[in-house]
Amino acid sequence: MIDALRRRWDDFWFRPGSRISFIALRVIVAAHSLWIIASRPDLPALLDWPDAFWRPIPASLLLRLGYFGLHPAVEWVLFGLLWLSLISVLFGFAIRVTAFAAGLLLYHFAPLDALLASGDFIGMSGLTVPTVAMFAIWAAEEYRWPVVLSQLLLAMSFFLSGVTKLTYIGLSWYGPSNIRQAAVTAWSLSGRPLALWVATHSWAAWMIGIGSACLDALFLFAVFSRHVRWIVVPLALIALVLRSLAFGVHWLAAPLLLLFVDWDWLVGRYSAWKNPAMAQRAFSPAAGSTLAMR
Amino acid sequence: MSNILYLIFFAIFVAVVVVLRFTRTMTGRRRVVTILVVYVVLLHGALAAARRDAWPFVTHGVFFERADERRPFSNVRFVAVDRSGQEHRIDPRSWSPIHDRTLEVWWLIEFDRLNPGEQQRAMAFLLDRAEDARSRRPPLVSVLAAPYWYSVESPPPPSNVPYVAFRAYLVTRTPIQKLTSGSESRQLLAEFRR
Repeated sequence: MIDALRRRWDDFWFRPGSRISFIALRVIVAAHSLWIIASRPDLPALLDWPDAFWRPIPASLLLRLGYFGLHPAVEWVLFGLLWLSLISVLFGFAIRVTAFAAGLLLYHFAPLDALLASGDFIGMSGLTVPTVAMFAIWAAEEYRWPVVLSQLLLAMSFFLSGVTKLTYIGLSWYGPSNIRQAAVTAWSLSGRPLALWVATHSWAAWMIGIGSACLDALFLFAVFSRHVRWIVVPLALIALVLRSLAFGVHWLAAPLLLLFVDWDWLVGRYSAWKNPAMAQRAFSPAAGSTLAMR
Repeated sequence: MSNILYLIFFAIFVAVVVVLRFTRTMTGRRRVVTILVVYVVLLHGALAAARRDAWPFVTHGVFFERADERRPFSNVRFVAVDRSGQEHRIDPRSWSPIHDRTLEVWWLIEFDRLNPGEQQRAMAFLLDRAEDARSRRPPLVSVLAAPYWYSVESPPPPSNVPYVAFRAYLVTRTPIQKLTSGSESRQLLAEFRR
């Protein structure tokens, strides 16, 4: 029994992976991080805000995230190094140094804009999975487990969100009454027409509740099953659009859904389209195709 | 205390990754990867059970409370005032690189803890930021930029008139009442005049 479990575990995490999916992981997390960082180009400028803003923030929180009262110019240099290390990871340059540096610098900078709220919303930066993934990329000599670990982290964010809803409120969080009242509350704040529309159409509140429950419960299975991905990834995209338009809550990690794309299959199709003769040779059993590694 | 504990959680993660990086044998590497995966999964599970977040090990999203359309709901609204006394909504991008919501939370938790001099300096700084953003054109690339995670209000139209004062209001509404009558109340929390 234990041997069988061990074999399954080893097969799941350590069976040969493809170089293409590992490169896709590297490119997706680096490009995503660059998008977020480039969208906050003046992030270190926050450290120049008057002391009145910083004085109430607990020293232990600042220490934990590496803010030792360094000169702001040093923080700008570190921010520049974050840019350089992410670009290097994107292009696969000196990964053995740059991925580790990118991980540490993301740990340092990603929560910065949440610090003034004493760390509330610290997980909303969209950079939690990339921060952990950078260390996995740095340590990896194998292609498969870093990809699966990153997928697992993204999937766990849905699952644990469901667990939190259940422990705080219970199953009624997903009920149409709660969804409808949440929509009314969101409308009272933002005046968004879609929020009001959800609030006044009970079938829409039902659908959102059921969709959310399915997403929270099923996303974890997408790590293990390609079939489940065909359900949960589109569902996550619908939820993302709806939450943005109706509730004004933007899920910044959305581009990381690309981690669930079958890049081997996609690259194989592209190669076949570009060069049918070469693709035929590549996919012949004798050649040992890329797809055979899946 | 919890911050030190969270730092230790992260340090353990990095230590395991470093050990993995320098482990050469296949059996050894598999063992360390297993330790890494189990550590990450168990840590997330423990944090979820304890209702805690320990960046970068995050278990919480937002909005887990039970919605109640009859419960009054408040937020802080920052406005600028021109010479004629006219109030203007402040573009949330004025606070970049932080988010409107972050500043609201900072205000609600921390502002009252400041002494009067610090409060004046903080509001003078925010007025300067609002005025600076008013007189600047928004960058064209902003449409491609990642939004802040919670942006409920679209930026107000730019004002042509310089700002001379800053006000913070606590705006309160009961959602169901606002739906039927459009009513909400506001209470002045603080004001700064240049």
